[in-house]
Amino acid sequence: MKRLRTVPIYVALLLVCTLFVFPFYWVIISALKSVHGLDLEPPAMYPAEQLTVKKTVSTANREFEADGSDWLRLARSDDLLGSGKHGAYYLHLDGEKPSQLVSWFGDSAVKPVRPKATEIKLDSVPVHEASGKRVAVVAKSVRQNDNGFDELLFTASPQEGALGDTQILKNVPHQEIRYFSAHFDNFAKALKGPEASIGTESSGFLLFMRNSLFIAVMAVVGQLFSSSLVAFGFARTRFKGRELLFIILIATLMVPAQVTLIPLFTIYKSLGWVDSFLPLIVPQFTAGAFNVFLMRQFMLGFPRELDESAEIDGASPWRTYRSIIFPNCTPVLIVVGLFTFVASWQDVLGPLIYLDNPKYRTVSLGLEYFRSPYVDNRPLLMAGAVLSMIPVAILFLVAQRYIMSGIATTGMKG
Amino acid sequence: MGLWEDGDVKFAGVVKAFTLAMAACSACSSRAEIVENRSFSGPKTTIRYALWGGADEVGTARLFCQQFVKLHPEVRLDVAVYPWGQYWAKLQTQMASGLAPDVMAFYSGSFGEWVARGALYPLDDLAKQSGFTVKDYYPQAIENCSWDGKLFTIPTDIAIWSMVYSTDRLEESGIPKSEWPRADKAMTWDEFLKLSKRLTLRGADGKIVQYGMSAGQEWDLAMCGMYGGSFVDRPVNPTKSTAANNEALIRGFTELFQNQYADSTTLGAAPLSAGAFTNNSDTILISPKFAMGTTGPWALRQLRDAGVQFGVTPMPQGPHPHNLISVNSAGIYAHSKHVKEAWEFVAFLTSGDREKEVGLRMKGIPSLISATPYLIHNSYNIPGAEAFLEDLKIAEPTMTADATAIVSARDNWLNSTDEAIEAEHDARLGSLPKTNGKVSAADYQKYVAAMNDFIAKTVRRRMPEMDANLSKAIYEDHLPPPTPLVKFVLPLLAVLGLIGVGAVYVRGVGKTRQSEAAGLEGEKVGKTGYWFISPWLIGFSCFVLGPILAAVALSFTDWNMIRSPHWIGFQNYLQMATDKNFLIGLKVTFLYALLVIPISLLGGLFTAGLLTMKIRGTDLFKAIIYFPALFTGAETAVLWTNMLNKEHGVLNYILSWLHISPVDWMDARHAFFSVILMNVFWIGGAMIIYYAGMKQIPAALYEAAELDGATVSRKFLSITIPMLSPVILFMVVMTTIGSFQVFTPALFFTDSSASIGSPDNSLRFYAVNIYDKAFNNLEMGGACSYAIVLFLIIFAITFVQLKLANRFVHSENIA
Repeated sequence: MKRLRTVPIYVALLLVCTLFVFPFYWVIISALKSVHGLDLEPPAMYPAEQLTVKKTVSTANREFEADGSDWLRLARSDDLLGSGKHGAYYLHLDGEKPSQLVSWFGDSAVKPVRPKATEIKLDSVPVHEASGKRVAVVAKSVRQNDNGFDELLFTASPQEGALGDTQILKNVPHQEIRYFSAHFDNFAKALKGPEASIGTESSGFLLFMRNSLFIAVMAVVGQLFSSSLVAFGFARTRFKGRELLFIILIATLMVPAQVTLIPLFTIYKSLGWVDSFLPLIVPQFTAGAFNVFLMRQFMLGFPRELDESAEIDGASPWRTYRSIIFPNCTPVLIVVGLFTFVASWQDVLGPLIYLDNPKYRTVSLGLEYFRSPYVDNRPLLMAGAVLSMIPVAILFLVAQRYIMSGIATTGMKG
Repeated sequence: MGLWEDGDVKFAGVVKAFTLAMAACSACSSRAEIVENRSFSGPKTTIRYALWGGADEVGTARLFCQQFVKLHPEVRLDVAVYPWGQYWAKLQTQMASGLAPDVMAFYSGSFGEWVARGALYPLDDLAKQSGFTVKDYYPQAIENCSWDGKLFTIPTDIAIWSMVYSTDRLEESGIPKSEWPRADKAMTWDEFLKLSKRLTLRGADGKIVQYGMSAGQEWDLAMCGMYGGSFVDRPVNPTKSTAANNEALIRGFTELFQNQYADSTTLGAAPLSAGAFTNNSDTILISPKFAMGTTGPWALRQLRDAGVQFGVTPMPQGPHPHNLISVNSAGIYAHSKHVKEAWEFVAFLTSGDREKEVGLRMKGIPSLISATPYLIHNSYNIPGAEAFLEDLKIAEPTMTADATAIVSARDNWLNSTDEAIEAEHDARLGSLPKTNGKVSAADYQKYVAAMNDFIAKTVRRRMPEMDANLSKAIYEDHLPPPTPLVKFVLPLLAVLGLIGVGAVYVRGVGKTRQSEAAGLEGEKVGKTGYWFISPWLIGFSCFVLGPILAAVALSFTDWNMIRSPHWIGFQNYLQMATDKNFLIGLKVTFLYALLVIPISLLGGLFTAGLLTMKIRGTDLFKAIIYFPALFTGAETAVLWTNMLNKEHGVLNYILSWLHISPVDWMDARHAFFSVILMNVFWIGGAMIIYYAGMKQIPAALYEAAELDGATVSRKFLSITIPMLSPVILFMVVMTTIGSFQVFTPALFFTDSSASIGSPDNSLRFYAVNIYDKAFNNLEMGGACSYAIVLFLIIFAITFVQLKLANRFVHSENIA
């Protein structure tokens, strides 16, 4: 009876979880796709490639027409368009690369010329499934008719080898064939850095990771150290104006970052800190309001007797903080550490404004360089996005056991 | 001081280690990429050069710089290439701090703002001295680099959009080669309409399977002038709106919109991004669904590499031939210390050999006339570039003004008119009677006639609004000096008022918090506490309070970060009250907060509630639901724009299983809701806090209720919610504060920072206004006034929330 009652809960949770996992599944498989795989329509739900086959065309008995570009005869036609005329379909050749374009010429329009090469290679002829059979689609043609359009498929056998005469299929439903193909080399390429994809030297993605990691780790160290000190001050010591100062501390949460952005920049510039990591690290050693709040709530939970007995033993407040309170704060330290790491790792505005030297580029800045109007870098962009998620994911997996206890004990009680 | 004396070795070690690290990272702060001639060992001058671009530009810039230092070994170049979206903000902050590069890349659209604010060094004298002949460059390009008759930048290349057509699609439609558009001759408007109609194909179900034309970038702006209409008296530094009663402009717009939205077989009501994953309409022909589009020289190589067979032709010409150029140029920072060397570098960047590269690599049209043949005989052997030159003959400079507001008045009108007509188009088309899914020809004709009429009336009705907006923007740009009331009295009142409100707030909140001190009675009052909170005290005064006071002071000035600020008193605030964007920002932000707060509250409570049921695997479920809340940054933007894409996106694919036709999730009507949708994935943060809170509720309460026969929902409403109310209050307050400061999602759907808040202001959050003012309009004073008002709004709302909470929140202590 009881077991039955929990079924809907499991169903609801599984639904929510599937929904929440899906974007991550999607970005990972996108990072494993090729450019072509990303463009498949409808989108492939796994890293997929279109099945293609290599064909060679012997030019010995083929006709060509030359008018600036070359046309290769594919098939003779018997009045397929109902125009009453006879002629042949020709494949357009651009150099030796065939396009997917087929054109019909009347008999009189064909001017045979001597072919330039004895053999033409068609490298990736897509294989489709049409009426239950696999066929290589050499070309297709769409012609308008009264009711819409006719689609003609010029097909050959799906095996590799010589292209014989093609068969014409008219208005036959067909579908490309996909197969699983994961491009793990996208990650290797992304690691070499955005510039590497166009063949110039690059500082590499690992450098971005190292920079972001350094900043984030320093931020975590700074926040844990300073916020716990300040929280201790607010939670376990008494001084004049404590309540007022605490209200001011909480009120700083409401200050939009944009208010202080420009004055801060001027300050850092006059200190000579611009284009170094200092503006991103030093403020982290001056305690974040939210972190102080969390830690203070946590420290309020310790019994008063703890400090008192330490005091009786002659310990200074500093010693109480260091040897009694701080070591017992592990859960909340982990929560604050994780929050700080994630915020620092994902910060765009700070690095954007304060860092200049390509050597100092962080992951969030570097990712933007994968976008280019000249090269299709989408798979690398996806791979870069996945790479940038990895450190946060690892940290979360390590820390997640502590998160709940960390939050649970920060005074969030009912 | 005894406090610090017994700090043990472990802590001293940490402090030492990080002091060392600090020292290390300030020591290695050498400049950006340096290009220099190492064979020369004499004294060198360093010239800083900044430009925007991707990996490709890095390569070209490096090459050019290497060539330069070979000729000028006494100069060392310090080159920085930023992505377009980061470039302007970067320049802005660097100029504010006097660290601006000596030589900078500009584009004509924003040229006016920078030059009017005194950022650029006038080049006429330098040009004269070095024998630089302006006549060698295309005159329109020079016009776009000059201001009040003075030359401020030198054009490097010209961007222009012409038409491109897929020869494959033309072939398929059986159009004889003799009738194809030509590179050396523009089609007439009528020829174009005929061709576009012929290339628009419908499937058996009446749906368009191939669009004749996708009206891409600059299309509207170039073609609305086909009857000779224009928005302002002159494109560079306009002084007057000419939109009022401008019949030629009305007629141009009416025809453009009619062809796109009434009989949509011509311009095929296709959103610009349709089919293109990257939202890049320049390469839309990669999708076989399009027969024609607009493009510039830079996109042709990518089209060819993608296997598209194409031809290029000039834009179709109405009675008044018209097109637009925009110009990329290089200029010198007004306060550069090395003007002479900087000029040598600018002259080098725009000299024959560099312009030849521009042509050969098809980066644009070389601005140097003599380099034009290299575009036609480019290194990729791509034919058809003559079309761009044909268009250049009739092209005007792009509109550039000293205030962004002037250009955006035009763009906003265009967007909102387009939006209104598109909505009508969708509504009317959707409500046409259908038999077997098909609309009868007669009904369709009736629809076309009615829609034509609607468009003509809408354009005419709305044109005065464009005129009013343009005139207002131009007027506000030349405001008279403020009155003493505005200059001194109002600021004084405002500051006094602020102090008063602050005092009331502190007292008000102070009262609600007194109970908290209760548990700590036994403590001795001393001074040690100050030592502990000193890190925060120092940080607060240096990095928070100081900057806030500076921001308040700056909000009373007209500081633009380049010139020194002037006191204008309350003017920024008065202007804000009449600023449309202020109201839009408030509306969008309030709506966002109104939706996000319940999503986080209900979603968090619901999932947390499920997890507290007696089930297995809670840890795993918890982890999975929390996980997405960790990712809200740049990588998430990459992911979501991929999933939400109209053509290739997985969301539309999944919806297609439910027979829902593709939705453009990133257009003006849906972008906001897409952002809200993303928030659903971020409920984990709230969930985990509610869960922690629920776990703290004593089990005895539930057991007692169970004995009384309470149901699950009854227990939830009567025990969980009241017991959790302090946590709920805390979360609601935090979410409110967060959602009023929301900014980053606006970056997700905009690919350039210049159009932040787009599409059509649907993501113009309040914080976007601040960013826009500061980094796109260079109005730091205005930006500060916006920021201060946001601060006050957040303060007020939180205050009200805490006051109200006193009545409803259970329990003795408020978190």
